[in-house]
Order: sequence, then C-alpha cells, then structure tokens
Amino acid sequence: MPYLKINSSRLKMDIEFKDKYIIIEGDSGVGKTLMVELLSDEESGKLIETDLKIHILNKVTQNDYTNWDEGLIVSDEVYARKFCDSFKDKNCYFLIVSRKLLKNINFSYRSLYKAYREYDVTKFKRKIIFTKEKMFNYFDYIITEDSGYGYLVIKEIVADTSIEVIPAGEKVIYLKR
Amino acid sequence: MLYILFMNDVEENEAAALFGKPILEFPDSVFDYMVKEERKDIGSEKEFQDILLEIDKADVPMKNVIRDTLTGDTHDIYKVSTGVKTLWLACIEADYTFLSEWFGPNCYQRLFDISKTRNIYMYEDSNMFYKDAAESLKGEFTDFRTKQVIKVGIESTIEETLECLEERGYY
Repeated sequence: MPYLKINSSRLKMDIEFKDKYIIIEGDSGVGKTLMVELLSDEESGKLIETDLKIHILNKVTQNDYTNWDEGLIVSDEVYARKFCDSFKDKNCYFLIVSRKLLKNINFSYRSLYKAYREYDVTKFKRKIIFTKEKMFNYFDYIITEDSGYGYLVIKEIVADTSIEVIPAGEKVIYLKR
Repeated sequence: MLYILFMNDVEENEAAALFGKPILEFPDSVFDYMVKEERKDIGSEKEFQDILLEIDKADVPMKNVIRDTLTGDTHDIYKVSTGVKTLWLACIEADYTFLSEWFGPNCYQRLFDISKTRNIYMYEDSNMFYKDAAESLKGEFTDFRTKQVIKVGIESTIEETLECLEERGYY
C-alpha cells in the first residue's frame, strides 16, 4: 500500500494511502504548512520515506498540474481550493490541507486527518476513529442496508470479531436462528 | 459586526457580489504584500502580538522576527500561520470577503471578539459551527441574508444556534 513517512525533529507523519485522498485539517499554527514546506524542500529528502513520486501543487508548479498522472499530489489549502474540481479526474493520490467542505470529491472517513502539536512536534492522527460498541457482543450477524461503503465501514469495525456482516442491497435476507 | 453568508445558501461568487467585496483567495500573499510593500511594523502592534501569542504561541523579539515560545526558534514574520495572517487582515478591516476556511477552530473566538468593534464579511464554507471549538464560542453574528442577529453561546446553546441555522437551510 502506498505510504508516506516524514521523520523530522519538528514533524512526524506516518500515513498509508488506503484511499485516494488524505485531507488534513486542524487548528491554525500547528504545522500544516510546515508539512507542505518539508515535502517541497529538496533538502528534506532524507527525512521523507515514500514509494510515491511527490508533486507539490503551488504557484510555481500549477501549470504542470495537467501533466501529473501518477504519484502523490500535495497541496495547501489555497491550491486545493483552486483545483479541487479536477481532483476526481486524476489518477493520483492526494494529500490536501483543507478545512473547506470539498463537495466535488468522494472521500471516506478514513481520509480525514487532524494535525496537532504535541510540545514542539507536529503530528497527525485520524480524525474519526470508530470504536467497537459493547452491544456488538450480542450479535452474530449485522445486516447493512448499504452494500457499498457503509458495508465496508461496518466490516472494518468488527473485523476482529466473529460477527458476520451481510450487505442487504436490494435483496431480502432470511436468517436462521 | 461579523456578517455571514453560508455555502449551502449562496455560491462563493454570489457571496462576494452580495457583500460587494472580492474573495480573499490568497491571505498569505495579501498579508506579505501589506507588510513588505507598505512597510508596516505590525509586530509592534499590541493586538497582533496578542493574536500571535494565542494562536501560534509565538512572540516578537524584534522587528519582523517571531519567536516560538515553546522551542525558542526564530523566523521571519511571514512564517506566521494563515490563521494569524487572516485574523490580522480582519483587524484592519481589509476590504475582502473572508472565507471561514482560513480560520482554524482556535481562531473562532478571536474572530468573534474582533467583530465586536469592526465589520467582517465572511463566507462560511467549512462547517465552523459544527467544530468542537464552537461549543465554547460566545458572540454574535448577522445573517447577511435576513439581516437578523444570531447569538452564539449567549442566551442560547450551540445546539439551539445550529437548529436555527439548519431551519434556514444553511446546513
């Protein structure tokens, strides 16, 4: 799975791209721009570990954007705003700093990350983390109405239990006790 | 007063037209231009220093230099966060339609406080009232569409404010 690791004294990141988009938000002043700067800086090479070719979308490179067809596109909020309508047409991964509601792209809860500062180090964590509810102990099966993403989300949550998740789709399902 | 138009109600360009102010698309560049070209010594302004300390946890040891109070690292003043830059542009009532996207949740209360004495025109495009920080927010804004003043955290809870905004179709 594509990944990106940054290990600098001021910023730590360890992300696997399970989805096309990683969207980073967070308070002002916690280091989101620093992350983009580190990825832009050729001298940061030793601090960055990834199997993706990195493209930084900014004022200087915006004219090259149409030629990027693979790899990872990194953008701050200014250029994410400007180009977000065309993200869905790209066959690339995206690391975007944005607080805006990006209505034109489909992304999952796994895409949302929050930047935060711990002492003097910028770190990143998933914004939404599902926890297993106690009630899951009482069921053998969970039927999800949605056979798409809703089904996958529930399946992931109960992955290490014996619960079987069944997508209903448009079918009628009979369960034997 | 803080005047707000909402993303679910109007498009960005429409909001700019209704406010009669262009969208602040590049807050960093506008800030940098003002400091560089207009040779403003904003670091000496008390309000800027307060914002910088609160949001970026930094102070101003000398002209155009900021210092991280946690690490002691120093940088030039253009390295302050976009949130600080945009709040300062709000302080000087820069003639723009501000986007809520430019403000981190830790800027919201300061934004409301600034708007007690100055007019700020903002397009809400980032669900700011649903963020955790909104729960402790205290202030008011004017719904620019209806010209009604809506209180947040004063005489009403954030849930009641959200209910009111949802009823208007803003969320």
